Parts: sequence; structure tokens; C-alpha cells
Amino acid sequence: MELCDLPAHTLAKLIRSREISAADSLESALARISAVDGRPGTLDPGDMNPEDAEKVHAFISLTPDRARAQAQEIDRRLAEGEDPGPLAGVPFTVKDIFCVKDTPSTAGSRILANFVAPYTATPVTRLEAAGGLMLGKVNLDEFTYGSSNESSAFQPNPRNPWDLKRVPGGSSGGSAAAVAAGEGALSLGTDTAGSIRQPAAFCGVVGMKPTYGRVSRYGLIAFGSSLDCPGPVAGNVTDAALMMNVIAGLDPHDGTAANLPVPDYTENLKQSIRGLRIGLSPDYFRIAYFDSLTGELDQQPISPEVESTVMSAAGYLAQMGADIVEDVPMPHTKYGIPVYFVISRVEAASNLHRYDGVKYGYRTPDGVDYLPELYRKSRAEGFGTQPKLRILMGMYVSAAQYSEQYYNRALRVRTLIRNDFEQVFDPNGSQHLDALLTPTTPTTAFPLGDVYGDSVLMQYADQLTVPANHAGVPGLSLPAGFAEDGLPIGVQLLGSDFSEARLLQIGRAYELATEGEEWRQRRPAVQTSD
Amino acid sequence: MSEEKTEHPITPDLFNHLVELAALDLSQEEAEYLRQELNNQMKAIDELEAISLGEETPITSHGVPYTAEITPEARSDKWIACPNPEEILAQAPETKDGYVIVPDIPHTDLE
Repeated sequence: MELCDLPAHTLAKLIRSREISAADSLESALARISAVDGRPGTLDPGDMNPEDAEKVHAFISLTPDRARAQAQEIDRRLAEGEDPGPLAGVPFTVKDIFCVKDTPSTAGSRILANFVAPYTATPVTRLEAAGGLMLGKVNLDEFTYGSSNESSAFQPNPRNPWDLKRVPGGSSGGSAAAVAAGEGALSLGTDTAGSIRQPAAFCGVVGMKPTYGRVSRYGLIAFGSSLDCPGPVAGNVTDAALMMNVIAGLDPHDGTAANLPVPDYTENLKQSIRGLRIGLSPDYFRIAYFDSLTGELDQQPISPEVESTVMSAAGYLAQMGADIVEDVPMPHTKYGIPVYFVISRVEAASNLHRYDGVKYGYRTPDGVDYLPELYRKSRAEGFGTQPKLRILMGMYVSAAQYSEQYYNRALRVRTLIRNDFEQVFDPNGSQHLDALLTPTTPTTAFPLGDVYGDSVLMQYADQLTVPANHAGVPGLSLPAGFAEDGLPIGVQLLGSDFSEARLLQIGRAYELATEGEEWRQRRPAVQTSD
Repeated sequence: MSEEKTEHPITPDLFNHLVELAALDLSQEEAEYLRQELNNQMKAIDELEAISLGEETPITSHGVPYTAEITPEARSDKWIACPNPEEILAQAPETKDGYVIVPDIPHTDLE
């Protein structure tokens, strides 16, 4: 095992006690990247070569000089007896949807390919201030619009380290792939419909979508401003808790960052879950799948392997003392995607109007002598298919004559989705749950090219994760074993507002209950072959 | 509403209007693909029509209620100079003497 395969909390401990240096930790991660990542995503990749198919391609841009300077500073401070912070010398990656000063901050789009951020996103500032070493920016679906990473303008797009012919999920696919492959112990992702949890499940790592407002969005290139949540992608629950300690909290730069003290998320991890009430809902064991040929909404069961994994996880939690509550009604779960098709598009269209070829980003090279023409050509050439789709849908469903029928209706159905959660988590209600246990995704990672192009089918990959975004509540995806085809399966814990500490506590109990399982020892092929 | 309109609410004319509003410029092939995907998505969105919503159901504009306890105090409305205006301007595709340069802005009469 290399240093880069160690958990973040172990690395930080070894570095803070000066058993290893931050420089050693960094060089180990850089060596892994060099061995497994292949060429980074670029706008003009040319033909794919055979070697491309053997690599992970998590990165868009690497910043080794920045990381080396940071590592040197950590080692210097340690030598002088200072404490550089809880993430001292821990290498981390950043989804390229966050601005980081003096780095290309592309959103995976041609329209921002030449944009060099003049400031740094708050969660990144906090990770660096805690001693973390920023390795670079990792790939994503263009503007985060996707569930597979295939829509990135920067190709080759990331692959799943467990099977390089499969997608890593998305949109934080580069983040999840990088953590799974040992290319950085932590990654900062974002989750608007499941974009942290779904790739975490596909890549066999831990991903947390915090409560809306728990982590500042300052410096995050916006998609759905009422839905976007920055959060951790990590190798294990303790690392996710450690990262939450650093990134959560009030921020004068974000008026939606909640004014609520940040607990020590690592403190509860050893506490027993005895007596906690954990619910199972039949509404999360079937998917409402829209058939574009017949126009009908069909209900189908989720993959039996995924279902049995969740039931097995419930069994482990029961062994640890939790009370499992079955048949919890969450009746509006199936409307999560149709509501999302409306709300997220309106917010996306609004946010994307700032890209105009004038202030920053891409401008058409064609000489045009008329400003509206400059807008149209720059946007047409700069945006890929997914942003265009979202802008057009957002224009349609929010137009004055349609907004009552679509946008306002979707916002009201969102209330029903929120009510589902409020009822089951109400301490005085009949269920009074501490958490819901669900599958993270209906299936394991799908093959590259299988779903891409069908925007409806792709969206349905987020069906079990998106309700938490509508409701604002936190969610945690945990690796929970493997399917017959060798691909990871994730289970999800959902909780009430700001109950991250409780979810992490349950997640850690699940890790302890399963630590002797054979599947816990498995490593992705790319990690063991370098 | 005709059957045809329900199945494909986004007609070519409506689509072209949306493209104009979105300030895009699409090839014929791209336009056809995008219009088809939009109409497919509309079929999923139409599922919302079937939900019985009482008149009293309020909208939720974001999930977590911002109660007085957790709402951060608004910053004072104070003018602060940008520390690095040159860096900001340097991002613009074309500038001159501290101004952003754009092509001709057509004169339009307000309606």
C-alpha cells in the first residue's frame, strides 16, 4: 500500500506527528496520478488512442507547483513546532466548477475554457487553510449537467476506476474517480440532484450532500441556485466528517450560508446507534421510469442486487442496535425528476445568461459588427448540447404564459416532497425517524455511451437522490458491497435539516459492522496494477 | 388542445422563438435534436399535471426554511473598492483604456 492509499485522517496524523512529511504525501499522490490518470481532458483531444482506454482521466488541470509550495510550507511550519491544521499534508482535488484563484476554472465548458479565476471559492480557501494540498481541478459534466461525465467539453472524460469501460457517474465524476483511484484522498464536489452521491456510489467511495446552506456556495459556478450544495467526496466516513469540519459554516460572502454553529462531525463517530430509528421506504425501492415511446410513467423495481444490498445494510444497522422501521411512506418521491426538469432548468437558464462573450470567457472569433449577433454566436459556439437544452427548457417553462402551469406548479409539488421528509423526521410524528436508508442509485455504473444522448433517461439516474435536493435535507452515500459484475453498490442515508453528524455516526457504525467483510478489502484494478 | 399539440408542445415556431430568447444560433441538425429532447422532457414534466394540489399548497423556493435563527445577518451596504480591477478586466476578450469593447449596439425604441 502506498501513502496515497491511506485515509486522509491517517495521513494527517502521520504528518502532524512528523512520521512522514507533507512532501512525501504529495509525491505519492502525484506518482499515482502519473501512473493511472493518463492525459488530462482537453478541448481538442484528437483521436482516442489505445492507452486512453486504460486510464482514469480524472483531471482537467494539475497544479503540482502550487501543491509543492503548500507542502513545503506545511513541513516548514511543522519543523517550527506549529500545527498546520487538521488536513495537514492531505492531497485533495477540486471539481472544476469552483473558482480557484489563478487556475483555469472551466466548468467543463468551452465557454469558460480560457477563464482564469480572480478569486477562490470559500470551501477551497478553508481546505487550504486547514493544511490541505490542492492537486488540481477534476473533470465533470459540462456545467455539472449530467450523470456520467460524458458531456464534458474536455475529453477524454473520466472513467470508472473499477471498470474503465463504465462511467464514473456524475456530475462529480472526476472527484469520485480520483478518490477511488488514490489520486487524492479527498475531493470537493457539488450536488444539485445527486451529483456527489451518485458518482460516489458508482465508484465505491463516500459522498455527502450537506444540508442546503451548510457549506458556502461562494466561488461555485452556479447551476441551480436553490439546489446546489458543495460537499465532500472521501474514501471513508471519518474523512468525510473531517472535511465537513473544515468546509461547513457561516460565510460573509454567501447570504444563504446558514448561521448555525458547526459541530465537530468526528466527535459522534464512535457513539452507539442503539435505539436510533432508521426507516425503509417502499417508494425508494422502485423507480418511476418514463417511457418516451408510450408517454407513460411505468413503475419498475430497482435492481434486485441493489435492493438486497440495502436490506443487508439494514440488517447490519439492526445488529448495531438501530430500530429498523419498514413501510415508511414517501409518496412524492416519484415526482422528483419531473419537478427537477422544471426548477433546475429555470435556474440554469437564469444563471447561464451571464455568458455572453463580452466580460470573460469565450468570444466567437468571427468578426461580427452587431452585439446581439456576438451574443448568439459566442453562446452557440461556446455552450455544448446540455447547457443549450437547459437554457431552452428554462425559457419555456418560465415564460409568462406557461409559468403557472409549469414553474409555479413544480414549486408547489416541491412543497409536497419537502412535506414527505418533514413528516417522517418530525420528532412528534408517528414515524419520528432519525434517518432513512435507501439505495443511492437504481443500478450500478452503466457502460460509457449507453445512456448518453437520451437526456430523459440520463436524468432518471438521479431519481433516488434528487428529492433531498428539493427538500434541502442532507444525504450520505456509503459503499455497501459489489454486484455480480464487480461494480460497487452504494446505499444512502437521508436525514432532517442539519443532521449531518447523525448521518455520519450511522455511516461509521455501518463501516464498523462490515469491516470484516471480504468486499471491504477490494481495490480498483487501476490502483493495484501500477 | 389538439392531440398533436399535447404530444409535441414545442412546435418548430415556438422552438425558434425560444432560441431567439436564449440568444443562441443553432444548426438545423442541432435544432431538431434539441427540439425532440425538449418534447421528450415535456412528457415527463406533464406528469406534474396529474397531481392533485390543494389551493392552499404553497410554493417552496428552496427546501430549508430560513428562520430568523439561522438567517445570516445582512452585510452592511457599504461600497468597497475592487482590489484588482485590472485582473477582472484582463478576462474580457477586448478592452481599451479600462473599457470593455463590444460591437455596435443597435438602437431600439422602447415599446
